Amino acid sequence: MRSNLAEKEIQKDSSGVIALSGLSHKTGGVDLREQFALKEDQYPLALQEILQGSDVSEAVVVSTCNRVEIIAATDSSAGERFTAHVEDVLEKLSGLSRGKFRENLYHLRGESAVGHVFRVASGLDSLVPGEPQILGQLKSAFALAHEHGATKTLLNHLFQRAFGVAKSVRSRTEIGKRAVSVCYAARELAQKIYADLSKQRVMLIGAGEMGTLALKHFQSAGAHQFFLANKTLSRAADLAGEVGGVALGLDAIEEFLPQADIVIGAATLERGMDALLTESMVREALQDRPGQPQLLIDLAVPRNFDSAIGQLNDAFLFNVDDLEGVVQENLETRRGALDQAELIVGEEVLKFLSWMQRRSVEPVIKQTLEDFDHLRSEEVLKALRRLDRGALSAEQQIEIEKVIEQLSQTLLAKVLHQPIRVLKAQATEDPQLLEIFREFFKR
Amino acid sequence: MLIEENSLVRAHVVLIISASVLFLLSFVMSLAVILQESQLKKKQFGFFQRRLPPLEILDRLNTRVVHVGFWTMLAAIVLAVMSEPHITLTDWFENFGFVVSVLALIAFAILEVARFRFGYRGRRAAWLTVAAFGLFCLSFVGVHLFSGATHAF
Repeated sequence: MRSNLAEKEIQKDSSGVIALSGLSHKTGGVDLREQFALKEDQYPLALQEILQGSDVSEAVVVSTCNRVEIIAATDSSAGERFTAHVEDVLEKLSGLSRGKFRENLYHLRGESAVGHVFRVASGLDSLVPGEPQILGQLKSAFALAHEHGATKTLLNHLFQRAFGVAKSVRSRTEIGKRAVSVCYAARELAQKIYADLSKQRVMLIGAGEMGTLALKHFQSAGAHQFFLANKTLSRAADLAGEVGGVALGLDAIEEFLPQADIVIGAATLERGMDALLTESMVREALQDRPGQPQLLIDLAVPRNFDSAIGQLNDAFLFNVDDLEGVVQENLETRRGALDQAELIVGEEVLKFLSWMQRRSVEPVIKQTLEDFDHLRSEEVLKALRRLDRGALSAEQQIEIEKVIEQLSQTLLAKVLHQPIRVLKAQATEDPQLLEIFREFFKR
Repeated sequence: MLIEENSLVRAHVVLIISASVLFLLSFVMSLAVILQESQLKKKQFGFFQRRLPPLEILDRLNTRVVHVGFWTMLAAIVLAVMSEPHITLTDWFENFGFVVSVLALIAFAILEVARFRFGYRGRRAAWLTVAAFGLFCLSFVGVHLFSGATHAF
């Protein structure tokens, strides 16, 4: 489905350079970034504004909580004009004067722009290295731009390659392998003890934001048997309605405790209040479930669970510090994987640039060959006309034409072979070569 | 009686070898359970903890292997006794190797009761398994060093 943008088709040279401008969590705080946050219905306008630039033939806008970036295919000479145009567009979209954000913008072209897109897609530029959400966000941004006719060959290929690179980085390195949030670490921990979370019963104490997030992680891992305990029963009931489970008041925790394999503590306690779960409560619960361990994850501060619970044989108790330790260790592992990921990105950038070069070189070679073949045919005809063929038989005439045709084709092929060979081999390293070739063989 | 001549002896040999393999497997799994659970208890998430299967799987598998091993060993001992009808029970219990084998079997029986009746699991059951396996290994030594004619091949 194409929108008005496609109907206002601008015939521009799409064989140009990738340019990228934007700001991210590295260059601007959230109070600045939120000024540029785009809603979905604002995307077509943003794309339209960018494509109005005389040098811009394709564009994608990426707007997330951590970055706003404009990726475009521009003429090779666009440079500062594109930068100025982007500032105009951002000024218009945000209502801020450019002086307030100019210093926070970064501008990349060519190889660095391509590398940046690949790195962003792979999660290497994210606040948490290897986080997977950015890939989905890039895919949505690209799909929107494509739907509105704002992308053509260059950006189509760039983004498809970026998605492939992201997949490669994630599969070949440890960049996305371990939990880097406390709630996700809780889920991973449970999976170290229980093979199949769908068979485990989870009790959540405290149906606030943290507790709900942890519950959702467990739900996504397959858990579906929940006991939801909250001080306000109606809130527990609401959550039970959402995820499917049994709503409990805090006074019913002890009764249902023996049935829970995993207990998550996320209730807000006042300082000085007693722990919600004591060692004796858990010991009695374990006696009612012989041979079945119990995992207790205390996400709250002040803690919900008595630390003495950890001494019990079949109870595994973890608090938020323990999980933070897991998260920090995992972050270190991810950071350690950055170098390997950068190598993969580097290789892919070279492959992409090589593709771009071939893409710009081959039409020129093809056109040159066509032009010279046309010239050759004209000269062959002229030569044949000058021949006195009156005395020749029909077969002799055909033979002469064949010989002259073959001679001219062979001569042309041999003359052009070396220049074309050099162009194909060296245009990647020396972009000027293409221009020189064009000039040399211009007709 | 030579193994070639007595099918009971042959069956005993097959069963005792099977039991040995099963108990060796349970020994290795018990070590893994001990390691995994210790690391979880100490909240250490090191090299082994990341690579070992979930604790529940290790423990469940270990239970099954010991269970099958126990009955296999029991059958092996019964067949051994049946294969030598001329040896009285008193004579059997004068044989060091036999006694240690029975003790090993009792150790595994205790382990079974501890698991199924008293809910022993994890590290506790694993340590019991390791101890029972130790006795089982001793029974091997005892049987071959002290059994004399009954294990002559």
